[in-house]
Amino acid sequence: MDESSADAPDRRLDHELIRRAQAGEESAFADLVARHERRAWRVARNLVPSNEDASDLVQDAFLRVFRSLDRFDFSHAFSTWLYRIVTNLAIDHLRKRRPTFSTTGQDEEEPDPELVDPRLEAPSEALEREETVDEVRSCLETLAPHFQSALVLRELEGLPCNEIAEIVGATHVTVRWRLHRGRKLFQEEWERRRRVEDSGTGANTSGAPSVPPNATGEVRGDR
Amino acid sequence: MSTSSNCAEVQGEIPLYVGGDLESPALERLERHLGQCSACRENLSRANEARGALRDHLGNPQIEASCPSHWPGIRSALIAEGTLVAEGILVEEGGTAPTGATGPRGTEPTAARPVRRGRLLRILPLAAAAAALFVLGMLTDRLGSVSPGEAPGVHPGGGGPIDEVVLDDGPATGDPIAERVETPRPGVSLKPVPSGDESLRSEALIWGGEVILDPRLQRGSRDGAAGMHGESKRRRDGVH
Repeated sequence: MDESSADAPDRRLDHELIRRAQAGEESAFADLVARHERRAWRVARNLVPSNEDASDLVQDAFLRVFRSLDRFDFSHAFSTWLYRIVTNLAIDHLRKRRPTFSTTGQDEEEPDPELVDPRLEAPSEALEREETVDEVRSCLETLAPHFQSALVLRELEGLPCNEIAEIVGATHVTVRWRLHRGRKLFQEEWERRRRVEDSGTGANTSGAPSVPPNATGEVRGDR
Repeated sequence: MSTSSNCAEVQGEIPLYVGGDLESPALERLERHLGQCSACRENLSRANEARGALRDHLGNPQIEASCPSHWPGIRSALIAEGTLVAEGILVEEGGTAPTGATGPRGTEPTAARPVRRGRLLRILPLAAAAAALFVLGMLTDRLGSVSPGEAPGVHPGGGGPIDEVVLDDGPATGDPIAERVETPRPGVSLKPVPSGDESLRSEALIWGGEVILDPRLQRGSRDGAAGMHGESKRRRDGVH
């Protein structure tokens, strides 16, 4: 990954903190946590349904970072490593949290209805706070975890495809495909909910399924 | 190419285009088409609207504002698993907190230095053993490097009065080192010390093998390097 000049000072400071933490300085690791916990939290919170889950996830990620600190590769940015851990933990969390089903025998490029049954979603605190946030989050959560993570890293953090590829352990082409599909699926779900709202029935605002519940967007081989 | 086929092709690229992820030449092709096709512009508008809602949500400052401080929990977990002691000292994974570790948490960096007790405990005995072997090796080598012909009354092949070097007469242990010691090779002789020469031994101990009292031993020390290794091993193997 290329190091942009704007990121270079931050990266150097991160590496200095890591070296000090490797030498056993607790305050250096505390500083590292303080520098990155908000970004880690932002990513985690947009992928998991509650503050508690996100907090547990961020803490777990930093503990894993600490345990592997001696093996840190200084040719990479610390943030990339942290994002990778957070994202993988979040994806694991999402996969455990809900049942997913693979579509088999279908062309990946076909416009399959790749939406999970929204009735299976657990309520989140965010859903109780704000209606718009509620809707967007619900739409996002209908996507398979790897679509969610690609969208969050691209749209929220503004990371380029090659860096996302490094974080999620996929190829650049796969990441572009996930972004393509994720945006398309999000738009379809968003518009479906808009239509339901506009019709005034309100019957489907809680997320009635528009597709069979066994179609989730989880395409075999695309992990 | 017809307009309808262009629409189908272009609409498939809109999800990448709205996020700035479309590359040449597809990017130019799509923009040319958008300039001529109102239906595709409408699709683009809808895609932008959905993406705008997503970005508004993801960028919601309330999310970031709700971020708690994770360090206390992380620190507690590290202490619980033994990788961090309460005084602010990180220890090696699997290590234990040093007794009486000094310095309050967050004080001077020196107080937060790691205590690599495990590593120290591993190194010290090895270093001591190596030093002892080295001294013994030097001592026996100096003493044993006297040429047989210059040591009256001593014969390395046997028969001479040997009191310093005693070969094991027991059965072969199978240890190639021990077997090698029992069969002196030409030029690498076992060089005993004459009986009763206690001063020589003590002097050698004091000076770490630099025997200076007896000229014949001095000479022997110069050409005794070849025998040092075997002698040291013999000592290590308990052959006296």
